[in-house]
Amino acid sequence: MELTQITDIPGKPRPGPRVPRKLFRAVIIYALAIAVMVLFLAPIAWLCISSITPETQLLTVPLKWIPEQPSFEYYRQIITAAPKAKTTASNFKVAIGNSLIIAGSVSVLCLLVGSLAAYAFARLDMPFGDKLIFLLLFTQMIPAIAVMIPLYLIFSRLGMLDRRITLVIVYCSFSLPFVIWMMRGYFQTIPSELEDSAMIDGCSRVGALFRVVMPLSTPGLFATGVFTFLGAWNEFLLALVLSQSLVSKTMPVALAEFIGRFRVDYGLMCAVGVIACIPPILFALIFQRYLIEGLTAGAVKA
Amino acid sequence: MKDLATERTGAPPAVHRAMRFWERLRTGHLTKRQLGLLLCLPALIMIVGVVGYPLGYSIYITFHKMNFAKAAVGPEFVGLKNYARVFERADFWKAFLRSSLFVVYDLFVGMPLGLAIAILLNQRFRFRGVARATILLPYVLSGTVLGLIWKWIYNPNHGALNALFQQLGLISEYVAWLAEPTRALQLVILVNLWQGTPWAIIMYLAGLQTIPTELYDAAKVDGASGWQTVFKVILPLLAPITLAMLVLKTVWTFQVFDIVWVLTRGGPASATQVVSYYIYYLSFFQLKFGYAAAMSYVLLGIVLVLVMIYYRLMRREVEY
Repeated sequence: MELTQITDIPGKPRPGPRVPRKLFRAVIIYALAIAVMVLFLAPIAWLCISSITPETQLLTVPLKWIPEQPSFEYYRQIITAAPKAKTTASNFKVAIGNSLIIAGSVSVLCLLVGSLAAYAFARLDMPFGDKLIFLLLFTQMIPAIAVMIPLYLIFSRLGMLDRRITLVIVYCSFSLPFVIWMMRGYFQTIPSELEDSAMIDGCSRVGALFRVVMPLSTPGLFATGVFTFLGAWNEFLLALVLSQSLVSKTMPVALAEFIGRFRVDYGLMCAVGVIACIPPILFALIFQRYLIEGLTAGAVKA
Repeated sequence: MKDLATERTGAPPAVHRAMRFWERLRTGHLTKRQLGLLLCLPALIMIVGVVGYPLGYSIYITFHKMNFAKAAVGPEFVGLKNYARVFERADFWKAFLRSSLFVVYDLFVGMPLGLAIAILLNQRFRFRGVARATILLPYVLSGTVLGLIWKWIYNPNHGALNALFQQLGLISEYVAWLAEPTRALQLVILVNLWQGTPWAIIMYLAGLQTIPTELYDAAKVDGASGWQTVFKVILPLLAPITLAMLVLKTVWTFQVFDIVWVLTRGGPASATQVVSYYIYYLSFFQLKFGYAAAMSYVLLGIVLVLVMIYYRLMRREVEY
């Protein structure tokens, strides 16, 4: 009796018998895991808490960590703002809309154009296929800063600065190598007999791609689509260079501009931050498996 | 018109070939290779147009003084002057060193930490899935939002860091964290680590899952301790993925821009002017496009050399 009681006290490990050692191990693992989670969650949680705290409470010293009367005033301001109102909240609403349109178009366009090319690399014997695909991967290493200046000059000469379509084209081109690489990998896992039989049944090759191969690669399309969406949603440098007004300004640019101002409404700023987090966090939770797959593709040999 | 052109260039075969190609395209009888090229065309056009052509155009810019503000004068050829200035002046290299400091912390603190946390999250315990989902969050959020979060935490008058430290009794008065140059640099590096480590964790977790459990069992049977298992079994097996990560991490960290922009805008007193920020600053605040483009090319060259070195190392690793 006494012995078991001693071993059941957590945090007081004793060397010797097996059971306490196991318990000790478990306690350490849980403690460390909680520490890691706090480390990565706490700053994000603080953003959420700040966004629902009325400003008078947020600015008190000493700070109270939990708001007494949480209010969703800032969210209401953003959601109900009229797009033409030119208030801070309405500007954010427009910018969020721009980001959604741009990121959405980028993922659709990228999957379409990228899948076609990926199929060619996977199935149709491309001249210099392997070399070309490595060259494509190589372009992923090029820092955006290296093409920032020429892109700005080129698009300003074309009169295409400050347009959403410009950002869509640019983001799409930057993501294409990754999309091609990912989708090629997926297409290769699909037995080519399936297409062959579809083609015998009278399907053209492109028809077989759209009716047989693409539906079978839905997980891959999802993973890749989520990646390109997040890339476009989060990108900052090129959006900063290529957009000038609310016509094409994306959420990160609007947010950065707001933070740079002298007098900042912290609560509103945090609410916008939370809204900006929603798509990435939703994707991270729903597509966790796909996301990890996409992230580690190529680098880890399965 | 068409006849004239064929007469002058003597190109009927080419025209015939094009017409034959069109005929096959129309009837759907392309050869595999032709169809492949056709399917690749849109993607290749986009990549060449938006990445390839600007890279080439950038070379032109580096050899010119662009006079962007004086449109009437136009670009002026200056030869290698822009490159010479990059190597002569200290400003680029100062910014480069700052970025290198980011890289050093990423590689020597972030990656070992990532491995340690990955080993932790690879143990069997309840809520493991939740813990793994949690570490994904900093990775998927945009640098701007992370910058906002930390700028708010570091806030000199109302920030959470001040409040926390004061309530714990570590400081007696609120501190303007980002106002002092050295500390500002350290704190930005800290944010960069916080943002970058989850990626290392995820990669290492994936790497750990490729190690067959029999190997752990075998190590245990042979009487290896936990540490021995880590150093003798896990580390050697993770060497290839570590190399791949080193390359990517280095390349990415030289591009850090958004968190610096939001947190400090390069200040105070250019203490946090990392190389990407500095190139942006030269281009769009000082309109020195030629000089800045030359810098970005030097940076690109350095990155490519690093990638090549790592690639060599990786090949050797794979060979045995």
